[in-house]
Amino acid sequence: MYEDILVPTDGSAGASAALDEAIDLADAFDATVHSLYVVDVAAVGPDTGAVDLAESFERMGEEATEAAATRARDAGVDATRSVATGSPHRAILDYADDHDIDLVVMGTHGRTGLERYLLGSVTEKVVRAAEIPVLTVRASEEEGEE
Amino acid sequence: MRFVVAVDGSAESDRALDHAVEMATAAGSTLTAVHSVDPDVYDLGGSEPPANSSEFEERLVVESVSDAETRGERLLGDAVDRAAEAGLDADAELLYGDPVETIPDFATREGYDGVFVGHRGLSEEHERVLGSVAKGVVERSSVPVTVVR
Repeated sequence: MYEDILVPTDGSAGASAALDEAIDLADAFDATVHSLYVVDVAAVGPDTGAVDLAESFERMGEEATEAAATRARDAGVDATRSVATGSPHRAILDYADDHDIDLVVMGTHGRTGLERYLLGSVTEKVVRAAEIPVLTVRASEEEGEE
Repeated sequence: MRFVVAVDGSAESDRALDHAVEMATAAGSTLTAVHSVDPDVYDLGGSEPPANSSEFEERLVVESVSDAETRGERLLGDAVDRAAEAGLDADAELLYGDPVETIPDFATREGYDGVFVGHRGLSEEHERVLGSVAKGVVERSSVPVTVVR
């Protein structure tokens, strides 16, 4: 029922918990895990020197998605990875459309205090706008506070 | 694996139920339909806000708990029937209180593996006014939550 599962990553504990959940599901359904990192253009900004910053974000994205895809393959699951540029929630939804994604798996913030009630703005926007199911996973305690 | 699906009789909740039934069937999991009894408050009308407390009491009618309970039991019965038609033997549990709190608490306390909720796809402005059960459940749940449109 799930053939293609998208897991956006930003290198956080929440994203890591989401990846574990996605790998379990992909294993159960013989699905492919798509790891996606989005270089946030708004975070990079238009200033001088921004080119270097964009490049370093892109390199970070390459590393994060490579690590995610490796973790999936080590678990015996097919995986593919991609780095996009743009506004994160838009880029995630566009990727889902373009690749016939059946499920998006995303992390939410920490367990305690105020963070417990903060969904994460990208996750929230994706949940609000996605036409496909979105599975949200909270980072577990062992994976540390954000 | 054991899953929970929240039902409230809306089209979105039916889609969440259908999705949960498919997932539970595919994964060989059990499925529990839950509905939280949270009596509705009706405003009998008037375009101006109530002027004083007596007018307030005359205008606002709180649904009785037993009516809300009967409604909840019917919704759960419908959900179990709908799952049975799809070949899944689901059970049901009536909760009491604000669904945003009772559903995540129930799932955590009873050790469920996942929660399914429907989402209406409200705009950000609408949602700020009306709230969203899906969003509240996602925010409060320590169990993974799948939001189905």
